[in-house]
Amino acid sequence: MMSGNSGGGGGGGPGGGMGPGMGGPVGGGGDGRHDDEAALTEFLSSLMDYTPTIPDELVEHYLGRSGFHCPDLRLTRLVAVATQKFLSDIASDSLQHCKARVAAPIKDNKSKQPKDRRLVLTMDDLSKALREHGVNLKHPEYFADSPSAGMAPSTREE
Amino acid sequence: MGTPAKRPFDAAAASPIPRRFQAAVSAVSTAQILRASGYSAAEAAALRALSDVAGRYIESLGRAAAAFAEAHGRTEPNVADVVLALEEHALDGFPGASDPARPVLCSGALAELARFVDAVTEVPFAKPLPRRAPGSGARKGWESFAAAEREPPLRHVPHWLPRFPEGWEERFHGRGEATAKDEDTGEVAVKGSESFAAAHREPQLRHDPHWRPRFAEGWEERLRLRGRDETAAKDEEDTGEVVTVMANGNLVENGRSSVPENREKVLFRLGDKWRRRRQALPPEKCGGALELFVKRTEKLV
Repeated sequence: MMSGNSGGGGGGGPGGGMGPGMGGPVGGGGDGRHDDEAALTEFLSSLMDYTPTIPDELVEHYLGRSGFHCPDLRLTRLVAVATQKFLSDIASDSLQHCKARVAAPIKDNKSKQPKDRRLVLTMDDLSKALREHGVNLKHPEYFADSPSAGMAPSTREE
Repeated sequence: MGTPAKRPFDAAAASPIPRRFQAAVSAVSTAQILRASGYSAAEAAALRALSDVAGRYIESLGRAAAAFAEAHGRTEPNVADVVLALEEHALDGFPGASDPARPVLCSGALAELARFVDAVTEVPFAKPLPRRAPGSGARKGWESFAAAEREPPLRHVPHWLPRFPEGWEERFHGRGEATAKDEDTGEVAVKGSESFAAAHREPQLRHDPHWRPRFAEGWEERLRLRGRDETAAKDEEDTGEVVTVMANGNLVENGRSSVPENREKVLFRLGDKWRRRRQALPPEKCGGALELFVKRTEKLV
Protein backbone atom coordinates (compact mmCIF):
# COMPACT_ATOMS: atom_id res chain seq x y z
CA MET A 1 0.00 0.00 0.00
CA MET A 2 1.39 3.37 -0.89
CA SER A 3 1.90 6.01 1.69
CA GLY A 4 1.36 9.39 0.19
CA ASN A 5 4.42 11.08 1.53
CA SER A 6 5.38 14.63 1.03
CA GLY A 7 9.00 14.27 1.89
CA GLY A 8 10.23 13.41 -1.53
CA GLY A 9 11.55 15.91 -4.00
CA GLY A 10 10.12 16.41 -7.45
CA GLY A 11 8.21 13.55 -8.86
CA GLY A 12 8.41 11.81 -12.13
CA GLY A 13 11.25 9.42 -11.89
CA PRO A 14 11.13 6.75 -14.54
CA GLY A 15 9.52 3.62 -13.28
CA GLY A 16 9.59 0.40 -15.13
CA GLY A 17 7.49 0.82 -18.24
CA MET A 18 5.46 3.73 -17.05
CA GLY A 19 4.19 4.95 -20.33
CA PRO A 20 5.47 6.72 -23.37
CA GLY A 21 7.02 10.11 -23.22
CA MET A 22 7.66 10.77 -19.56
CA GLY A 23 8.67 14.34 -19.14
CA GLY A 24 9.05 14.92 -15.42
CA PRO A 25 12.28 16.05 -13.83
CA VAL A 26 14.32 13.39 -12.11
CA GLY A 27 15.05 14.63 -8.61
CA GLY A 28 17.64 13.51 -6.12
CA GLY A 29 17.65 9.95 -4.84
CA GLY A 30 15.80 8.67 -1.84
CA ASP A 31 14.85 5.15 -0.98
CA GLY A 32 11.40 6.12 0.22
CA ARG A 33 10.53 7.55 -3.13
CA HIS A 34 11.62 4.47 -4.94
CA ASP A 35 9.45 2.39 -2.73
CA ASP A 36 6.49 4.58 -3.42
CA GLU A 37 7.08 4.42 -7.11
CA ALA A 38 7.48 0.71 -6.93
CA ALA A 39 4.16 0.53 -5.17
CA LEU A 40 2.64 2.72 -7.85
CA THR A 41 4.01 0.50 -10.57
CA GLU A 42 2.58 -2.46 -8.81
CA PHE A 43 -0.77 -0.73 -8.56
CA LEU A 44 -0.78 0.08 -12.23
CA SER A 45 0.08 -3.43 -13.20
CA SER A 46 -2.57 -4.78 -10.86
CA LEU A 47 -5.06 -2.75 -12.84
CA MET A 48 -4.55 -5.12 -15.70
CA ASP A 49 -5.81 -7.95 -13.54
CA TYR A 50 -8.79 -6.03 -12.31
CA THR A 51 -11.56 -5.58 -14.85
CA PRO A 52 -13.46 -2.38 -14.30
CA THR A 53 -17.20 -2.47 -14.67
CA ILE A 54 -17.05 0.15 -17.41
CA PRO A 55 -15.79 -1.57 -20.54
CA ASP A 56 -12.62 -0.37 -22.18
CA GLU A 57 -14.22 0.33 -25.52
CA LEU A 58 -16.70 2.73 -24.01
CA VAL A 59 -14.02 4.55 -22.04
CA GLU A 60 -11.84 4.84 -25.12
CA HIS A 61 -14.78 6.19 -27.08
CA TYR A 62 -15.48 8.91 -24.54
CA LEU A 63 -11.80 9.73 -24.16
CA GLY A 64 -11.43 9.95 -27.90
CA ARG A 65 -14.15 12.54 -28.02
CA SER A 66 -12.14 14.84 -25.79
CA GLY A 67 -8.83 14.44 -27.53
CA PHE A 68 -7.23 11.86 -25.30
CA HIS A 69 -5.56 9.30 -27.50
CA CYS A 70 -3.27 6.95 -25.70
CA PRO A 71 -2.37 3.45 -26.78
CA ASP A 72 -1.55 2.42 -23.22
CA LEU A 73 -4.32 0.27 -21.86
CA ARG A 74 -3.36 0.90 -18.25
CA LEU A 75 -4.26 4.54 -18.50
CA THR A 76 -7.64 3.62 -19.92
CA ARG A 77 -8.18 1.27 -17.03
CA LEU A 78 -7.09 3.97 -14.63
CA VAL A 79 -9.71 6.34 -15.97
CA ALA A 80 -12.31 3.57 -15.89
CA VAL A 81 -11.52 2.80 -12.27
CA ALA A 82 -11.65 6.47 -11.37
CA THR A 83 -15.09 6.77 -12.97
CA GLN A 84 -16.25 3.67 -11.20
CA LYS A 85 -15.12 5.13 -7.90
CA PHE A 86 -16.93 8.37 -8.72
CA LEU A 87 -20.14 6.51 -9.48
CA SER A 88 -20.01 4.37 -6.41
CA ASP A 89 -19.41 7.46 -4.28
CA ILE A 90 -22.54 9.02 -5.73
CA ALA A 91 -24.44 5.79 -5.26
CA SER A 92 -23.46 5.50 -1.63
CA ASP A 93 -24.33 9.14 -0.98
CA SER A 94 -27.77 8.75 -2.49
CA LEU A 95 -28.22 5.53 -0.58
CA GLN A 96 -27.60 7.43 2.62
CA HIS A 97 -30.16 10.04 1.59
CA CYS A 98 -32.65 7.32 0.83
CA LYS A 99 -32.15 5.58 4.16
CA ALA A 100 -32.20 8.85 6.04
CA ARG A 101 -35.53 9.80 4.53
CA VAL A 102 -37.12 6.53 5.40
CA ALA A 103 -35.67 6.42 8.89
CA ALA A 104 -37.01 9.83 9.91
CA PRO A 105 -40.78 9.27 10.15
CA ILE A 106 -40.83 5.95 11.97
CA LYS A 107 -44.41 5.16 12.69
CA ASP A 108 -44.57 1.45 12.44
CA ASN A 109 -41.64 -0.84 13.03
CA LYS A 110 -42.94 -3.59 10.81
CA SER A 111 -43.28 -1.65 7.59
CA LYS A 112 -39.85 -0.06 7.77
CA GLN A 113 -37.70 -3.14 8.06
CA PRO A 114 -34.60 -2.47 6.02
CA LYS A 115 -34.35 -6.09 4.99
CA ASP A 116 -37.74 -6.16 3.30
CA ARG A 117 -37.49 -2.87 1.56
CA ARG A 118 -36.38 -2.54 -1.98
CA LEU A 119 -34.07 0.37 -2.45
CA VAL A 120 -34.90 2.39 -5.52
CA LEU A 121 -32.75 5.18 -6.86
CA THR A 122 -34.98 8.21 -7.24
CA MET A 123 -34.26 11.45 -9.02
CA ASP A 124 -34.62 13.29 -5.76
CA ASP A 125 -31.85 11.36 -4.00
CA LEU A 126 -29.68 11.46 -7.06
CA SER A 127 -30.06 15.20 -7.40
CA LYS A 128 -29.05 15.74 -3.77
CA ALA A 129 -26.05 13.46 -4.07
CA LEU A 130 -24.90 15.02 -7.33
CA ARG A 131 -25.13 18.52 -5.93
CA GLU A 132 -22.36 17.68 -3.50
CA HIS A 133 -20.22 16.53 -6.38
CA GLY A 134 -20.77 19.64 -8.39
CA VAL A 135 -23.48 18.54 -10.80
CA ASN A 136 -26.78 20.38 -10.84
CA LEU A 137 -29.63 18.11 -11.80
CA LYS A 138 -33.13 19.47 -11.91
CA HIS A 139 -35.94 17.15 -12.77
CA PRO A 140 -39.49 18.38 -13.32
CA GLU A 141 -42.00 16.43 -11.36
CA TYR A 142 -44.57 16.12 -14.08
CA PHE A 143 -45.37 17.30 -17.53
CA ALA A 144 -48.78 18.69 -18.38
CA ASP A 145 -50.15 18.16 -21.84
CA SER A 146 -52.05 21.45 -22.03
CA PRO A 147 -52.00 24.71 -20.11
CA SER A 148 -55.35 24.00 -18.56
CA ALA A 149 -54.63 20.47 -17.44
CA GLY A 150 -55.45 19.88 -13.83
CA MET A 151 -57.50 23.02 -13.44
CA ALA A 152 -61.10 23.00 -12.24
CA PRO A 153 -63.62 22.50 -15.06
CA SER A 154 -65.39 25.77 -14.33
CA THR A 155 -62.27 27.79 -15.08
CA ARG A 156 -61.42 26.02 -18.31
CA GLU A 157 -62.22 27.86 -21.44
CA GLU A 158 -64.19 25.96 -24.01
CA MET B 1 -8.21 17.93 -36.65
CA GLY B 2 -6.22 19.41 -39.47
CA THR B 3 -3.66 17.33 -41.23
CA PRO B 4 -3.54 13.70 -40.17
CA ALA B 5 -0.89 12.55 -37.75
CA LYS B 6 2.40 11.35 -39.00
CA ARG B 7 1.92 7.90 -37.52
CA PRO B 8 -0.76 5.64 -38.92
CA PHE B 9 -3.96 6.23 -37.11
CA ASP B 10 -5.24 3.31 -35.13
CA ALA B 11 -8.60 2.71 -36.75
CA ALA B 12 -9.72 0.20 -34.18
CA ALA B 13 -9.28 2.56 -31.32
CA ALA B 14 -11.02 5.34 -33.15
CA SER B 15 -14.04 3.50 -34.46
CA PRO B 16 -17.02 5.52 -33.34
CA ILE B 17 -19.73 3.86 -31.33
CA PRO B 18 -23.23 4.92 -32.36
CA ARG B 19 -24.82 7.24 -29.89
CA ARG B 20 -27.69 5.07 -28.83
CA PHE B 21 -25.46 2.09 -28.41
CA GLN B 22 -23.09 4.07 -26.26
CA ALA B 23 -25.97 5.34 -24.13
CA ALA B 24 -27.23 1.80 -23.67
CA VAL B 25 -23.81 0.44 -22.75
CA SER B 26 -23.17 3.18 -20.24
CA ALA B 27 -26.64 2.65 -18.75
CA VAL B 28 -25.91 -1.05 -18.29
CA SER B 29 -22.55 -0.46 -16.65
CA THR B 30 -24.05 2.23 -14.39
CA ALA B 31 -26.77 -0.19 -13.38
CA GLN B 32 -24.15 -2.77 -12.50
CA ILE B 33 -22.30 -0.27 -10.35
CA LEU B 34 -25.52 0.73 -8.63
CA ARG B 35 -26.36 -2.86 -7.90
CA ALA B 36 -22.91 -3.40 -6.44
CA SER B 37 -23.53 -0.43 -4.13
CA GLY B 38 -26.70 -1.90 -2.72
CA TYR B 39 -29.51 -0.61 -4.90
CA SER B 40 -31.95 -3.13 -6.23
CA ALA B 41 -33.83 -0.85 -8.61
CA ALA B 42 -33.57 2.58 -10.13
CA GLU B 43 -35.90 4.99 -11.83
CA ALA B 44 -35.35 5.03 -15.57
CA ALA B 45 -34.78 8.75 -15.69
CA ALA B 46 -32.33 8.57 -12.80
CA LEU B 47 -30.38 5.78 -14.49
CA ARG B 48 -30.18 7.69 -17.74
CA ALA B 49 -29.09 10.85 -15.97
CA LEU B 50 -26.41 9.08 -13.97
CA SER B 51 -25.02 7.25 -17.00
CA ASP B 52 -24.86 10.52 -18.89
CA VAL B 53 -23.01 12.09 -15.96
CA ALA B 54 -20.56 9.18 -16.00
CA GLY B 55 -19.85 9.71 -19.69
CA ARG B 56 -19.28 13.38 -19.12
CA TYR B 57 -16.95 12.60 -16.23
CA ILE B 58 -14.83 10.41 -18.47
CA GLU B 59 -14.76 13.13 -21.09
CA SER B 60 -13.81 15.71 -18.49
CA LEU B 61 -10.95 13.57 -17.23
CA GLY B 62 -9.76 13.06 -20.79
CA ARG B 63 -9.95 16.74 -21.57
CA ALA B 64 -8.00 17.69 -18.46
CA ALA B 65 -5.33 15.08 -19.14
CA ALA B 66 -5.01 16.19 -22.76
CA ALA B 67 -4.69 19.80 -21.61
CA PHE B 68 -1.90 18.91 -19.20
CA ALA B 69 -0.10 17.00 -21.91
CA GLU B 70 -0.37 19.92 -24.31
CA ALA B 71 0.90 22.28 -21.66
CA HIS B 72 4.03 20.18 -21.44
CA GLY B 73 4.44 20.10 -25.17
CA ARG B 74 3.30 16.55 -25.76
CA THR B 75 0.48 15.28 -27.88
CA GLU B 76 -0.21 12.07 -25.99
CA PRO B 77 -1.06 12.10 -22.31
CA ASN B 78 0.89 9.85 -19.99
CA VAL B 79 0.32 8.67 -16.46
CA ALA B 80 1.48 11.94 -14.90
CA ASP B 81 -1.11 13.86 -16.90
CA VAL B 82 -3.84 11.47 -15.87
CA VAL B 83 -2.84 11.76 -12.21
CA LEU B 84 -2.87 15.53 -12.40
CA ALA B 85 -6.30 15.39 -13.99
CA LEU B 86 -7.50 13.13 -11.20
CA GLU B 87 -6.20 15.53 -8.60
CA GLU B 88 -8.01 18.36 -10.31
CA HIS B 89 -11.27 16.45 -10.24
CA ALA B 90 -11.10 15.65 -6.56
CA LEU B 91 -13.64 18.14 -5.33
CA ASP B 92 -13.18 17.30 -1.68
CA GLY B 93 -9.43 17.22 -1.92
CA PHE B 94 -7.16 14.31 -1.32
CA PRO B 95 -4.45 13.62 1.26
CA GLY B 96 -1.29 15.51 0.41
CA ALA B 97 -2.98 18.26 -1.58
CA SER B 98 -1.54 21.01 0.55
CA ASP B 99 2.03 20.30 -0.44
CA PRO B 100 2.92 22.10 -3.67
CA ALA B 101 6.04 20.03 -4.12
CA ARG B 102 4.24 16.77 -3.84
CA PRO B 103 5.41 14.03 -6.11
CA VAL B 104 2.95 13.44 -8.85
CA LEU B 105 3.17 9.71 -9.00
CA CYS B 106 2.76 9.16 -5.29
CA SER B 107 -0.22 11.44 -4.95
CA GLY B 108 -3.00 10.85 -2.54
CA ALA B 109 -5.57 10.61 -5.31
CA LEU B 110 -3.92 7.47 -6.54
CA ALA B 111 -3.82 6.16 -3.01
CA GLU B 112 -7.54 6.58 -2.73
CA LEU B 113 -8.01 4.77 -5.97
CA ALA B 114 -5.84 1.94 -4.80
CA ARG B 115 -7.89 1.67 -1.64
CA PHE B 116 -11.04 1.55 -3.69
CA VAL B 117 -9.68 -1.15 -5.94
CA ASP B 118 -8.75 -3.28 -3.00
CA ALA B 119 -12.05 -2.81 -1.26
CA VAL B 120 -14.51 -3.30 -4.05
CA THR B 121 -15.33 -6.67 -5.50
CA GLU B 122 -14.70 -7.02 -9.15
CA VAL B 123 -17.79 -6.80 -11.32
CA PRO B 124 -16.90 -7.06 -14.97
CA PHE B 125 -19.21 -5.83 -17.66
CA ALA B 126 -22.15 -8.03 -18.52
CA LYS B 127 -21.39 -8.85 -22.13
CA PRO B 128 -18.28 -8.56 -24.27
CA LEU B 129 -18.40 -5.62 -26.61
CA PRO B 130 -17.48 -5.99 -30.27
CA ARG B 131 -14.28 -4.30 -31.15
CA ARG B 132 -13.26 -3.83 -34.73
CA ALA B 133 -10.14 -5.75 -35.59
CA PRO B 134 -7.30 -3.52 -36.74
CA GLY B 135 -6.90 -5.24 -40.06
CA SER B 136 -10.53 -5.69 -40.93
CA GLY B 137 -10.51 -3.30 -43.81
CA ALA B 138 -11.77 -0.33 -41.88
CA ARG B 139 -10.99 3.04 -43.31
CA LYS B 140 -7.34 3.75 -43.06
CA GLY B 141 -7.68 7.45 -42.72
CA TRP B 142 -7.55 10.06 -45.37
CA GLU B 143 -4.60 11.73 -46.90
CA SER B 144 -4.54 15.27 -48.14
CA PHE B 145 -3.30 16.35 -51.53
CA ALA B 146 -0.33 17.96 -49.92
CA ALA B 147 0.56 14.85 -47.98
CA ALA B 148 0.34 12.77 -51.10
CA GLU B 149 2.29 15.42 -52.98
CA ARG B 150 -0.18 15.61 -55.78
CA GLU B 151 -1.82 18.56 -57.37
CA PRO B 152 -5.56 18.81 -56.98
CA PRO B 153 -7.10 18.16 -60.38
CA LEU B 154 -9.54 21.03 -60.19
CA ARG B 155 -8.43 24.58 -59.79
CA HIS B 156 -10.67 25.50 -56.92
CA VAL B 157 -9.79 22.58 -54.68
CA PRO B 158 -7.29 23.48 -51.95
CA HIS B 159 -4.39 21.19 -51.38
CA TRP B 160 -5.16 20.49 -47.73
CA LEU B 161 -8.41 18.68 -48.46
CA PRO B 162 -8.48 14.89 -48.70
CA ARG B 163 -7.63 13.30 -51.98
CA PHE B 164 -10.35 12.39 -54.37
CA PRO B 165 -11.08 8.66 -54.39
CA GLU B 166 -9.77 6.47 -57.14
CA GLY B 167 -11.73 6.49 -60.32
CA TRP B 168 -13.51 9.73 -59.66
CA GLU B 169 -12.83 10.96 -63.17
CA GLU B 170 -14.65 8.17 -64.89
CA ARG B 171 -17.60 8.51 -62.63
CA PHE B 172 -17.65 12.25 -63.06
CA HIS B 173 -17.22 12.42 -66.81
CA GLY B 174 -19.19 9.31 -67.53
CA ARG B 175 -22.30 11.14 -66.57
CA GLY B 176 -21.83 13.76 -69.26
CA GLU B 177 -21.93 11.42 -72.21
CA ALA B 178 -24.85 11.25 -74.56
CA THR B 179 -27.63 9.12 -73.28
CA ALA B 180 -30.01 6.75 -74.83
CA LYS B 181 -32.54 4.61 -73.22
CA ASP B 182 -30.86 1.42 -72.41
CA GLU B 183 -32.92 -1.30 -73.96
CA ASP B 184 -31.37 -4.05 -71.98
CA THR B 185 -31.89 -2.78 -68.55
CA GLY B 186 -34.72 -0.40 -69.29
CA GLU B 187 -33.07 2.35 -67.36
CA VAL B 188 -32.62 5.81 -68.65
CA ALA B 189 -29.12 7.02 -68.22
CA VAL B 190 -29.39 10.48 -66.83
CA LYS B 191 -27.71 13.02 -68.98
CA GLY B 192 -25.21 14.26 -66.53
CA SER B 193 -23.28 17.43 -66.53
CA GLU B 194 -19.66 18.21 -66.62
CA SER B 195 -18.34 21.47 -65.39
CA PHE B 196 -16.92 24.20 -67.51
CA ALA B 197 -13.52 23.49 -66.08
CA ALA B 198 -13.73 19.82 -66.90
CA ALA B 199 -14.71 20.61 -70.45
CA HIS B 200 -11.92 23.18 -70.61
CA ARG B 201 -14.26 25.90 -71.73
CA GLU B 202 -14.84 29.30 -70.33
CA PRO B 203 -18.29 30.02 -69.03
CA GLN B 204 -20.22 32.22 -71.37
CA LEU B 205 -21.64 34.47 -68.72
CA ARG B 206 -19.23 36.36 -66.58
CA HIS B 207 -20.88 35.59 -63.28
CA ASP B 208 -21.03 31.88 -63.76
CA PRO B 209 -18.20 30.02 -62.00
CA HIS B 210 -16.23 27.55 -63.98
CA TRP B 211 -17.02 24.66 -61.72
CA ARG B 212 -20.72 24.78 -62.38
CA PRO B 213 -22.10 22.41 -64.96
CA ARG B 214 -21.92 23.44 -68.55
CA PHE B 215 -24.95 24.94 -70.12
CA ALA B 216 -26.81 22.48 -72.28
CA GLU B 217 -26.56 22.75 -76.02
CA GLY B 218 -28.78 25.37 -77.53
CA TRP B 219 -29.26 27.24 -74.31
CA GLU B 220 -29.21 30.58 -76.04
CA GLU B 221 -32.12 29.87 -78.28
CA ARG B 222 -34.08 28.43 -75.42
CA LEU B 223 -33.47 31.50 -73.35
CA ARG B 224 -34.81 33.72 -76.09
CA LEU B 225 -37.76 31.56 -76.70
CA ARG B 226 -38.57 31.20 -73.06
CA GLY B 227 -42.04 32.22 -72.21
CA ARG B 228 -43.02 32.30 -75.83
CA ASP B 229 -46.13 30.36 -75.34
CA GLU B 230 -47.92 28.95 -78.35
CA THR B 231 -51.08 28.23 -76.51
CA ALA B 232 -51.97 31.79 -75.55
CA ALA B 233 -52.87 33.68 -78.68
CA LYS B 234 -52.53 36.99 -76.96
CA ASP B 235 -48.86 36.55 -76.46
CA GLU B 236 -48.00 35.91 -80.06
CA GLU B 237 -48.97 39.40 -81.01
CA ASP B 238 -46.49 40.85 -78.60
CA THR B 239 -43.39 39.30 -80.01
CA GLY B 240 -41.37 41.70 -82.03
CA GLU B 241 -43.19 44.76 -80.83
CA VAL B 242 -41.43 47.50 -79.08
CA VAL B 243 -42.38 47.80 -75.50
CA THR B 244 -41.69 51.05 -73.84
CA VAL B 245 -41.75 51.75 -70.19
CA MET B 246 -43.48 54.88 -69.12
CA ALA B 247 -42.25 57.07 -66.38
CA ASN B 248 -44.73 55.77 -63.91
CA GLY B 249 -43.71 52.25 -64.63
CA ASN B 250 -46.64 51.02 -66.57
CA LEU B 251 -45.94 48.94 -69.57
CA VAL B 252 -47.13 50.51 -72.78
CA GLU B 253 -47.51 48.29 -75.79
CA ASN B 254 -47.72 50.21 -78.95
CA GLY B 255 -49.54 53.05 -77.34
CA ARG B 256 -52.09 50.91 -75.69
CA SER B 257 -52.33 50.55 -71.98
CA SER B 258 -51.33 47.33 -70.40
CA VAL B 259 -54.85 46.39 -69.61
CA PRO B 260 -56.34 44.83 -72.76
CA GLU B 261 -59.64 46.15 -74.01
CA ASN B 262 -61.24 42.83 -74.47
CA ARG B 263 -60.74 41.26 -71.13
CA GLU B 264 -60.45 37.65 -71.74
CA LYS B 265 -59.05 35.26 -69.30
CA VAL B 266 -55.65 36.50 -68.24
CA LEU B 267 -52.93 34.02 -67.67
CA PHE B 268 -50.29 34.90 -65.17
CA ARG B 269 -46.95 33.26 -65.65
CA LEU B 270 -43.79 33.98 -63.85
CA GLY B 271 -41.82 34.76 -66.95
CA ASP B 272 -44.21 37.28 -68.43
CA LYS B 273 -42.93 40.58 -67.25
CA TRP B 274 -39.37 39.48 -67.60
CA ARG B 275 -39.95 38.48 -71.17
CA ARG B 276 -41.55 41.79 -72.04
CA ARG B 277 -38.76 43.83 -70.56
CA ARG B 278 -36.15 41.80 -72.33
CA GLN B 279 -36.95 43.38 -75.63
CA ALA B 280 -35.50 46.66 -76.67
CA LEU B 281 -36.02 49.14 -73.90
CA PRO B 282 -35.05 52.68 -74.67
CA PRO B 283 -32.59 53.53 -71.93
CA GLU B 284 -33.60 57.14 -71.70
CA LYS B 285 -37.00 56.14 -70.51
CA CYS B 286 -35.67 54.10 -67.67
CA GLY B 287 -34.57 55.20 -64.28
CA GLY B 288 -31.05 54.84 -63.15
CA ALA B 289 -31.55 51.52 -61.46
CA LEU B 290 -33.03 49.95 -64.53
CA GLU B 291 -30.17 50.88 -66.79
CA LEU B 292 -27.86 48.25 -65.50
CA PHE B 293 -30.59 45.68 -65.88
CA VAL B 294 -31.20 46.82 -69.42
CA LYS B 295 -27.57 46.47 -70.30
CA ARG B 296 -27.44 42.92 -68.98
CA THR B 297 -30.58 41.90 -70.75
CA GLU B 298 -29.33 43.40 -73.96
CA LYS B 299 -26.29 41.24 -73.69
CA LEU B 300 -28.48 38.17 -73.40
CA VAL B 301 -30.54 38.92 -76.43
